[in-house]
Amino acid sequence: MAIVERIITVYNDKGSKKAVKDLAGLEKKFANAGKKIAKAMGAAAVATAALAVKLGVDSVKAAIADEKSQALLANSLRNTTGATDSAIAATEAWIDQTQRAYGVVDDELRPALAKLAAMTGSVTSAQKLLGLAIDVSAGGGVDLGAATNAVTKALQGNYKALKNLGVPITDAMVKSKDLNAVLQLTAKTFAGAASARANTFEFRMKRLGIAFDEAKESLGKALMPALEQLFAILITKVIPAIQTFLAENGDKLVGVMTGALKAVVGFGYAVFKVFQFVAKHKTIFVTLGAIFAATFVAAKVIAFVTAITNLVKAYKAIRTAALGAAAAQAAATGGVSVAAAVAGVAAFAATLGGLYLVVNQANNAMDAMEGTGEEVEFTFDGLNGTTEDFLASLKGLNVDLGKTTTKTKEQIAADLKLIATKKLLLALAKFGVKPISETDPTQLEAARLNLIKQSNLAEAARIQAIIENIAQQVKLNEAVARYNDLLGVVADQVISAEEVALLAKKWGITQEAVVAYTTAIFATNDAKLSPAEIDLLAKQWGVTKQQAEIYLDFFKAINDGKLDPTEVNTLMTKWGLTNAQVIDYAKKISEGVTPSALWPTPGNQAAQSWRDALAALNAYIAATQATITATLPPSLVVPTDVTAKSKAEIAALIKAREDLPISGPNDPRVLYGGGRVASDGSISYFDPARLGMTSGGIPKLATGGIVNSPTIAMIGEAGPEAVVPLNRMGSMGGANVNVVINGSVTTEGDLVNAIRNAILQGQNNGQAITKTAIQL
Amino acid sequence: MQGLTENIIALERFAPDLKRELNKEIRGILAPIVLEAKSYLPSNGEIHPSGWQKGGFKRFNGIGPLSQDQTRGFIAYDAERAKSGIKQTAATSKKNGTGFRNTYGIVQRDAAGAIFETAGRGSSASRSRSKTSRSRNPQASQHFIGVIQREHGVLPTARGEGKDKGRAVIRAVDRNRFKALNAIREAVDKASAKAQSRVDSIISQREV
Repeated sequence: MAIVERIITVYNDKGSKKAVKDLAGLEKKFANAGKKIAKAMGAAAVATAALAVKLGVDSVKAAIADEKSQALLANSLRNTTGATDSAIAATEAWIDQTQRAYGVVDDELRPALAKLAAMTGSVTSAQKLLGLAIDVSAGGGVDLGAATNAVTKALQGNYKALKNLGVPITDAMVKSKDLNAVLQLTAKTFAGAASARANTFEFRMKRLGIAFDEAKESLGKALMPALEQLFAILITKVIPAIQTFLAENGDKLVGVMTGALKAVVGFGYAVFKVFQFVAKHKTIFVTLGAIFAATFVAAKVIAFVTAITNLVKAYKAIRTAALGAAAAQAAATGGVSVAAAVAGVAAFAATLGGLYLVVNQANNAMDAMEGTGEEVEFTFDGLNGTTEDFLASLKGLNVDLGKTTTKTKEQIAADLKLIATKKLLLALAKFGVKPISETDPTQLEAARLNLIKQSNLAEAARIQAIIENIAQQVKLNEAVARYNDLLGVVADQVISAEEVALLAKKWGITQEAVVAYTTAIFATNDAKLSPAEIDLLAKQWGVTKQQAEIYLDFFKAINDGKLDPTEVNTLMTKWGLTNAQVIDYAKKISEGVTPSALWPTPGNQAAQSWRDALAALNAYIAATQATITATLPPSLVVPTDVTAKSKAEIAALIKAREDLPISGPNDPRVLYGGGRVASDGSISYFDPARLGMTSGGIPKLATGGIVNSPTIAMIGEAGPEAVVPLNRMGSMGGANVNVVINGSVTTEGDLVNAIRNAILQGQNNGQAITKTAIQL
Repeated sequence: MQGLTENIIALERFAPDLKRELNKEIRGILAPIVLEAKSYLPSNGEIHPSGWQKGGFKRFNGIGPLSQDQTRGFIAYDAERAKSGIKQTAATSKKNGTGFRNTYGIVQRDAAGAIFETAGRGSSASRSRSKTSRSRNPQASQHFIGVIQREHGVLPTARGEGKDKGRAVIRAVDRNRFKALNAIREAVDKASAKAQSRVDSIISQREV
């Protein structure tokens, strides 16, 4: 045995039979309504609000019944208690409140109240007693009618019914006919029973149903006048009048139309087709009206606005289809099936014009209304009057009403499939989900467009990636090119203002940026950077000064290609880092990757730029076999009196200068190239006087001299001489060779080889070699 | 709770992981109700009739007539067992012919606890005997109910579904029903919002 007290339950066919029955009934009604509407209107109407349509139709019926019930109660209260209209209205409000609170429908409350009012002659007393009767009904487990009867009998002095319902009425009370005591005892016995019952599962559902029904009734009340008017127009006037008109006129009018009249009649036929359409689908128009009100009552304003928008679209589609079909048919038949009357042509045209205005007015109103979400009011007054005039004047035309459209099996199957799909959509819509239907052409088109869009986006992203990649390549190439340019202008270890201006012009940046870049390039090789330079670097890289200092410290530490323990300790001490952090940081810098997560992007870009420039430098060094020492000036020397020249200009100048005739003895080519200029202006590279040549014409080199070209000279004329090539001058007079041997030397051969290698190395480097400084 | 259960079903179908999270959360919501229900159970010393408590009756040994202090199997009340019998049923879900049924609630699985819960709730008609009892104590049930009602309160006669009253589980649930419902609603709304955002993100990828 177990007691289960549920807090949340889910309805299904195995749940509460009563509740399920109610819900199943509602669902069935809705489903039927959906089927009918689906057949009548197709997808658009179903998608709009099958539920709302059903609400609208049912609401009229409910409103009619409720109106009757209210009228009966009002009449009873007037007769028995002399209640005023305001009192009756207040009573209706009380009934509405009561039924919602206790889950007892107004159709039960009103007869009971009327009965009690008749007994007591007071609406107020009747209301109190009705409240008691509701409690008795709830506590005694009987319907309100039985409970009211019991209370009524008690008022008449018969307490047996109350006693049977469980009120412990004593014999003494019966004898004393103490009505107040009995009623108090009854109230005490069943106190709170109605409230308790109202909160039960069953009655919560009932209250929900009551609220639903009330909404329907309210809706119906709002709809009834419009529907009455609509039906009156469509059924009682328009259709019969047209039929009468058609019956009265036949083929006798065929062939009497003029060309102009044909056009008018063609238009009249089109208008008539509208009426025909309305007549054939009057259910649609009824439900269209219902949708407005039902949506307004049952849903929120947003839903109402949406429904209005959809409805307007749907109506316009119908209207367009109807007019289009009518016009097409009229055009196809050429008005053959339409006969026109000779008489009343002017009136005919005038009324048609009036009707056209009405239709047009409605269309314009719809156009204006679309999207605004404003409440729609169909006014048929104008149409009514115009229709009567129209019909009165349309004597002489006979139009075939045509056949009612029947649906094929395939269409019905398609409708059923559509309904099933819509049902699923509605089920999902309960959860706010708007699924993509695989059968809705609109949504399929949307999906197709979406695919195209996605594809376009992917293609755009790919192209963008390519562009970015190219941009990076260009940027890298620019960095390398800049560095090469820089190497060209700093060959003399000085950058002039003109060179800076030239670089700025070539690179397309400001001169300040050139200076900053150049500073950045050189700064890392400078052991002692000034605070201003560090600031400049930090600014250039977009980092803090401290970050720039850290980066520079690390770069200097690893610039020699290794990280010594001393350097590690220095960095650890200086920046408060661990050994692992220092190594990791240095590794990242050496690899040119992001040094640290702390580094902002500009800093990394600067670092990368520097890495690229360094790589270009290494490539340059490798290509030229040049040795560049790190003895660059600590700060740039920027003279102001030098004309900027590019490498090409300098090369051109050199070439042009070489082509010039030697200007004289002081021409550099004479001074350093061995040539001379004769008095007649001829060029001679042999200056006998300067070279100590005798008059014999053969130079004597007892005092030394430099010979740059094949030369006949006299040597040894003043004593022993040595003729030594200039590139061997370093070994003259004895050289000192410091031989440092690392490792072990085990044999004499090893020692000889080591010494020989050291001497050869020293000779190659131009070092002095002596025998005194050998250390093993 | 219109809409709430649909959301729960939707979660079960479309986002089972969120449904599991929801179940966890609801277990937390129901836990205090379970504690409250347990607190309404009297201890062994407080239960009446006093002989109903564990050990109060002697098991009938089948020999001779049944004496008044013997029982043929009437479940003795044990406060500990009754308390431990109160549990929550959270998110039990099983398929049936039409779909899913989800139930969140509190259950009393101990027989004696269930007797305490509802004793005296039946109508007098349900207690009437169609045949003359041959018991030596034919009024035992009425006495039992009378004592319980006197000591632990009278319950209104149960008529129909939803009107049940109880002394522990049902009482605790009734006291906390709307609070729990609101909490559950919030939890479901939260889970539904998550599921909705998940669906929205999927849909948004397909929308133009």
